[in-house]
Amino acid sequence: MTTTRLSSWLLLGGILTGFLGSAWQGRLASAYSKPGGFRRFHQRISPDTIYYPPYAMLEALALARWQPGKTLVIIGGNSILNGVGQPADELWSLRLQELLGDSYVVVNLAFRGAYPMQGAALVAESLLRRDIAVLFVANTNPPAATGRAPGGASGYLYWQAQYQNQLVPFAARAESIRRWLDSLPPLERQQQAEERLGAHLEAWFRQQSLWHHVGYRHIFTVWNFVLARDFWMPRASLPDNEPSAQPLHDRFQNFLPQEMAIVRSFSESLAVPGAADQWQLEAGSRQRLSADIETSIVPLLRPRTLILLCENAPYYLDQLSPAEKARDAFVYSACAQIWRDHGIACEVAGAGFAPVDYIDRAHLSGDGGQKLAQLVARKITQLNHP
Amino acid sequence: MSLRFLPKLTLPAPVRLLGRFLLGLAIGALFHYMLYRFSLPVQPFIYVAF
Repeated sequence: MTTTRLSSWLLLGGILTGFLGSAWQGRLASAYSKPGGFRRFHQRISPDTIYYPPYAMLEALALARWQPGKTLVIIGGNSILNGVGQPADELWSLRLQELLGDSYVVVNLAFRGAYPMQGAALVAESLLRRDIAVLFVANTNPPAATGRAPGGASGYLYWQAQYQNQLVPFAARAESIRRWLDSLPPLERQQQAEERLGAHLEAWFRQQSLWHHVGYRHIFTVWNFVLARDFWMPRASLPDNEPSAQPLHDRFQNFLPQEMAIVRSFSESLAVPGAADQWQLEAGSRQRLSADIETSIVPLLRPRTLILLCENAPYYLDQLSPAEKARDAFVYSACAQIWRDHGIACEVAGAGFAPVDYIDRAHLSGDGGQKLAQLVARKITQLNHP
Repeated sequence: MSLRFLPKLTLPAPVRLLGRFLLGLAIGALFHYMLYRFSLPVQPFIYVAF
């Protein structure tokens, strides 16, 4: 063999070795890589800053402190349960861990902007399938309902979990997602196809696992406008910097008309006046929520789930008319009952909360987080020891 | 002067072959990195409370 030909073969062999070696390193990273001292996915390790934790990392985080004999409490849902508004040391899930004691392991896997059946719910499902004692807590509100596992910033986790064979076979969910994909406009369908392809490749080559590990420990290579000049810094060096709540008199002052429109929208599209000045759920809404629950949540997970319907801050609720207040209370109560009718524990979170418990319309302050932790601890104990 | 100096820098064949292999390793790792970059969403996620 001539030197030139040998040189070409060596180059080709090097390319294959380099690629497969990276994939092997990625596979190793998917088993161990996770943020150190993890409390939550704060802004600097979340999709806001182009950090998309791979599904395997969520499982690694969930199992990091768990031991046989302990019950794992996995927290999902959106920014409210993520603890936006609570500095790291005031985080409500830390308080929940204290209240529940050593026989429970609380892991906060909630993402900003996520739906209850995204991300953390898939981890809970996967671990229950492996006979690990898991309880799942998530939040939503009446119109948002269950949401859909794929779609949005956290939807890639569904495709990754599916292509890594972590999910329980559930025909109703698969059919619902197929119909949803068929209904998407071409551009969004294309985005979903690309997300699926990325997830498929992740199952084989673990590119997301390896390069997120490098980005967390060594250097981050993708610019984002939140971190701007600091985008390159290893995420391990950027602490959770969630600020403390503003003084009470400075809260709730921005965008009041828009916020009131959102508060009203939580109930006005779902309820219609009934007989004798009573409200009733609009029939389509009732059917939609029931169908969403039936097609989104695997039966295995339902008896181990606590759903919180999070109320808006009293500052806004107090500005509703008496009829609107009654409608709002009715919708929350009726929707909670629908969740319960499907075998899922559901509580309205916000009753008895004061203005000081919120930092804005939806998010809880450290004080509110303490109250939420007490409510959830009580319900978790009941759920685990019926 | 510099041109006369160049032939002295010609590397022995085993070193050149090793260099080609190392270059291949780097290209392979780059391909893997490109897979990661192509998997990232095109549109940034901008968090809005709901």
